[in-house]
Amino acid sequence: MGCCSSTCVDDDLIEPNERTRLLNEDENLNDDNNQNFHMISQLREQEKLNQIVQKTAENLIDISNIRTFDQLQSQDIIERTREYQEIIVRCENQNNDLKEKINKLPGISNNNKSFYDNVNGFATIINTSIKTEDKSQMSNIINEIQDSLNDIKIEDVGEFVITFE
Amino acid sequence: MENQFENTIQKYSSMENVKGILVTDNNGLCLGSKGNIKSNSAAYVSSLINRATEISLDSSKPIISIDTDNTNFLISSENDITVALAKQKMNN
Repeated sequence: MGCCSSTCVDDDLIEPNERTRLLNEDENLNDDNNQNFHMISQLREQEKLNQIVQKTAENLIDISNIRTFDQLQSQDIIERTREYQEIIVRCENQNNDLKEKINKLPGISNNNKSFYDNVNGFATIINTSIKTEDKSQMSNIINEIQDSLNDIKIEDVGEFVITFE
Repeated sequence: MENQFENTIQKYSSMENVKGILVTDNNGLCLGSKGNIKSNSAAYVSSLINRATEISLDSSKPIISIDTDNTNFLISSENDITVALAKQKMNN
């Protein structure tokens, strides 16, 4: 048959538009609860934020004052300069000791300048050739010794093994 | 019977600027020594000359010269006889 919907509307009521309250005021029975809930959530939020701030503060390393502590006083500068100079002098003395020891090495001393040459910063020992007279002397010595060895005669001293009878 | 040999090495060890002489065979056996060179150096002398012969580029026998601050050692070998002569070094 059909359906016709209708509602009972007071005559003095304004026709609802987009600004008409959906809920009538007399129907807001939970307003207090909503306010309490809102307050509680705010409190909780605040509490959580406070916890975060406190945790951060505990782990915070404040370096704003380090720069002022790290600055050397003039007295410290003078003392450190003196210490470093002493170390440098000590190293130089050790270097001089090493140089003296190197100079004492055989064949590489200033007394034998003909035996070493400085090539590209490296001291090398030049092999000087053996003198001709030394070579001939050695040859003569060897020849004479060989002749003397060849002249060694084995003397017959008789039976070497004697049997006892 | 080795008098002549002894006299020969005595003669050379007594020469001017000679501090010692050593005679060895190619096996390192000391045949005789006089002066500052010890007889137990014979093996080293023989070994040195053998090594030098191995590395020499030609067939000629090498002569080894060893310089120290005060002494010049000359080592030479011929026909299985090796002689080491220690001479006083002339300072330049």
